[in-house]
Amino acid sequence: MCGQCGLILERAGPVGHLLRVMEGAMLHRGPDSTGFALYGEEPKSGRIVVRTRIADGTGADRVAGRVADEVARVQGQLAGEPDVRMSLGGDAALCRLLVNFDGPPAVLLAAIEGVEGVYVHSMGRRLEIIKDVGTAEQVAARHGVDQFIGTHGLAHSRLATESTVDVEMSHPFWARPYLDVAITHNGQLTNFHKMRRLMSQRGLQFLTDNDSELISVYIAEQLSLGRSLEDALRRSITDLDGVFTYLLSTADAVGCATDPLAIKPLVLSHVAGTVAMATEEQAIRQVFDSELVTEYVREGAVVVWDVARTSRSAVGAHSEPQ
Amino acid sequence: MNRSDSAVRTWPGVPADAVHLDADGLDAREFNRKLQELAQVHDLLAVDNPRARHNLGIGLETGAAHIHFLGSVGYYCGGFNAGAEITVHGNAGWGLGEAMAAGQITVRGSTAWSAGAGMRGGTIVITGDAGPRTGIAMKGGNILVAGTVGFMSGFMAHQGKLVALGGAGDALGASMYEGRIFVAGPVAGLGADAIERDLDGVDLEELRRDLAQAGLAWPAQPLHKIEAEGRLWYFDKHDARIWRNI
Repeated sequence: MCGQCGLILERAGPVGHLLRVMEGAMLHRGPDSTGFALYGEEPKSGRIVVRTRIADGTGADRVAGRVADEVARVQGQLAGEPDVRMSLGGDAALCRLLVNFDGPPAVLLAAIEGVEGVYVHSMGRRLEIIKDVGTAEQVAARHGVDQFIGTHGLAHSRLATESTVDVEMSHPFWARPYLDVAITHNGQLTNFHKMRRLMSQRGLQFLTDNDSELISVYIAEQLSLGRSLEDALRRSITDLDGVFTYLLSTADAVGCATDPLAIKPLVLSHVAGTVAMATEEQAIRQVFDSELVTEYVREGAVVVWDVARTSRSAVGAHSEPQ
Repeated sequence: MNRSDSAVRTWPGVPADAVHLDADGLDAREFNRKLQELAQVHDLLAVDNPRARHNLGIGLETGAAHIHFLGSVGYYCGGFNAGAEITVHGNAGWGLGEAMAAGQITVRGSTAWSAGAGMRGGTIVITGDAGPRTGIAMKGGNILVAGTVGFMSGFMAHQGKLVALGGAGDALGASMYEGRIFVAGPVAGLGADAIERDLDGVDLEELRRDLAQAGLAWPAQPLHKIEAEGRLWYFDKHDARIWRNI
């Protein structure tokens, strides 16, 4: 099971709210955890948005202070106070940091995760991954997803199959340490252990032992080798084995790929600059007119949409969640 | 980007005197109970706001009304249909008309996987394309598709007739027991034990009648008839290779 959806808006708008409503219609596909990969607007140069989870929620401010020290140690600096939000009923906190940093993202990542009990969910100029246990409605209410203004994004609700119910195992997964790249996945990889071993031997880093995270790191490696997004997606269909339909987002594009049988469905819909996709058509019908034409993705398909071609410049919108 | 109100739109082919039922706010169980009740007393029904939700129009009884769904439906629409005529003005998700016994389901759009799975009777008409495994394990009735059918359509069919006028994906008719598949247009490949046979006069007469009744045009490209060769019916060690191909 698992339900995922993606959205590209014609211009910057309430992408968080729309994805939350779409994902809410697929609660039956995965009630364990929900996550969002949202893209805000063009940032100031050199600024990186870091989304983390601090395991010790009660001491979150103290831990955030230690993170700031580590950021300073690698020649970065916080652009304002960390935005720490406690999880409702949980003992952990999600934290959003704005960092001015021009060095390699891997250096910043290592510095932040060097602080004990800090897990980085995403880093990007525009990407922000917000994920937690609970339904789309609960996670959105807890972490201000509805207020997020942006151009595009992904959402995922998870039915845990291959690993435990846990915040870090939730989707979307960030393609660490590649800025702005995220994936959501519906399926299981059967050659996960072999690929994970080979990728680890090449020095690639993982946060979890979840099979879906492997897809994001795989894509990051392909992109770092200079391959196009479409090429990376195509290669993944032969390199990955198992049942999979996954969505991929970058600052400029949204793509999808399916295995050669496409048993995990994905419905696509696009009209007048807006692109919507979801595991089930009913998610799309929550927010879009019924006259919109939809189609199922065919087996072994790769589709990539260029956000710039579908989205226009923003009008009076901003990316800071309130 | 507004939630459309299907009641304020005009839908071609839906009579104005149809009795409307709004699916919004009803869970599948409540909705189906109400629909079954209305179908006992009215001949013509229209369902507003189906919003591609699952399990709509399940278990409709013999002699029930003509029901129009104004928009796409989700999975398993028209399952266990025992005689109702259903028209979907949009797409249908997985398992359309699963295990139906009688009646007709017309989809004015496309269908996902496994339309007509295990159906025993009645007719399914799809004006667009049908997904993989259309007519899987069908035990009777007709499935008529104006466009293509996806891979492994007719898989393990027992009886009945599957017609695809726009071509078919790979492994067409794989491991079918009996039944007939008629296909016009490109076929990616036949499945295990599926074989092409010549159409006879009875086939042609039947197809002309079926397509005319469904309002589908006779295909421009020639029709091919696919049946089981029968080599999987009994195990023969000399034929072991075909078993490995399943």
